[in-house]
Order: sequence, then C-alpha cells, then structure tokens
Amino acid sequence: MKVLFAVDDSKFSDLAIETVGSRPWPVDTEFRILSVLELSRSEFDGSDTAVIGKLKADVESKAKVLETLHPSAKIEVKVLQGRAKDAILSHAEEWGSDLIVVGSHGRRGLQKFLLGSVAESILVQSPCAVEIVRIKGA
Amino acid sequence: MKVLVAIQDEKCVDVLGAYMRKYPWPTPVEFRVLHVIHPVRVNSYMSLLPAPLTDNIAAQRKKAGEAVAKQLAEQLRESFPGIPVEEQIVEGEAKSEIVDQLTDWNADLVLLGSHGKHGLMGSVSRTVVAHSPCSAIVVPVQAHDRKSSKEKIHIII
Repeated sequence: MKVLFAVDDSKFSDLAIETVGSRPWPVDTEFRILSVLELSRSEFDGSDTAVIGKLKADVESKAKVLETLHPSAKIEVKVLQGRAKDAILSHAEEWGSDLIVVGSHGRRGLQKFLLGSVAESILVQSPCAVEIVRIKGA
Repeated sequence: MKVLVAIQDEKCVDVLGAYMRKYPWPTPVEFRVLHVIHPVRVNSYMSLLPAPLTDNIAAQRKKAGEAVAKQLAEQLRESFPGIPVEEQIVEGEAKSEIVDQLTDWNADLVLLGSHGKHGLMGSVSRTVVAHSPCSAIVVPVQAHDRKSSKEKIHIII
C-alpha cells in the first residue's frame, strides 16, 4: 500500500503522522510525506532557500518519527511549490497512492470553516481513500 | 479501537469491504456497521398520499438497508475471525444520525464511502467528516459514475 501524508508545519500534521504511523502497516508499505510551499511569485522568487529549507527540515523530522515506527519501510519526503490542493491531488494521482492522510485542524463552531479548505478539496476530489485524523478531545 | 462503518447501499459493500481488508487495523479492534434509513417524506397538500403506500416504501427501504448492513457484516466476520462485528439500523437524516452514533458509541474512527463528486453522498461524507468527533476515512465509491443521480425515483401523482 502507498500512503501519502499531506502535511504542514502544524501540530495536527504531527498527530496525523503519529496516529496513522503507529498502525501495524505491512513491511512492503511505501510512505511519502509531502509538504507544499504555497506562495505567489511576488512573495517568492525561488532564491529564498531558507523557506524551503525550513519545510524540508520539517518533513525530514516527520520522516524520522515514521522511521522509528517502521524501520524497514520505504519513506520518501517531497517539498513542492504551488497550490496545496492541486499539488497534493496531482502528486497522489501520479504516484498512485492508496491513501492520503491529512490532519484536521479541528476548528469548531464556524460551520464553514470546520474543515480546512485544502482538506475539503482533497476529500471531494481525491482519486483514492482519504483519512482525516482528528484526535478526540484535541 | 472502535470503528463505525456507515454504509448506504450495495455499491459500498464491496468497496468498503475490500478497503477494510487492506487496512492495518490495530488490535484490539471492533467494527459496527451502521445503515441509516432515509425516512419517507410526503410533500403533499392535505395528505393526499395514503399511508399504506408510504408504509410500503418505508418497509422496502428498511429491508434493503438491513440486507446491505448484513452483507458487509458477514464479509467482515469472515475476513476478521474473532473480531466483534455489530449491525445497527437507525432511521433519520444520514448526516446527523452518523455523527450522533459516533458520539454515543464513542467511536475512534468512522469509515464511509463517497458517492461521486456532485451527488448527495458527497455532501453526507463532507458533513460527517466536518462534524465527526473522531478520525474519518472516506473511500471513493465509483467516483466516475455520474449516472447514479438519474436513478432517483420520482412518484408524481
């Protein structure tokens, strides 16, 4: 099974990695951790490696967590640029993932914003199953 | 881990069953298969539609719902020997009933199918995920089948 974690640098993504990562995945499972840098051209000219570096460090640290849980699994990290939902969906399709895992920001109260817009677009348009991780009481 | 599987129709049976066989469930795990029967609502002036007619439709829906829930539950019992599998049938609005059952049962995960991009079920899965107290897995059920909306039954009198 190919499992794609779509992450950002929030604690919800860390929770998603820990929760889904701690399931008894078979040894031939492939994991990919994807983070998307979503900045317009005017904000980002491609030379600001510090921003990319920070995201890379973040996905690497998440990969470490996953590696401790599944030492023999194949784990890859990706940092892409573009609109988060498009990048995640096209990457999932390209790679042929069986599951996309996203953390829920768990905002409550305002119906419109209950799910992040990225999570919602993924849920509606995904070619494969989507797991939205929400920790009870979090 | 308590997993509530919300099942709508027979298209879900094989898709959800196949997905559940692939998924690495932690131990201990227990499954509950839930079907929500959509109540028969009559929009008619002065109740022109006789009750025996709607009773019949309601009975058919109940029977069909029980059959799909049983079908999936049987599949799961066969695939996961020793793991508790319950069946539950309730009547009401799918969105709110599923969320209520998740809360009542204190479920850890809800698994549901999503029927296509613009259909009714898309809205059920979205709403359930948004309001769910726990994690959710949404599995696409024939996402490319756009014709299903034509299968709606209209009774015009």
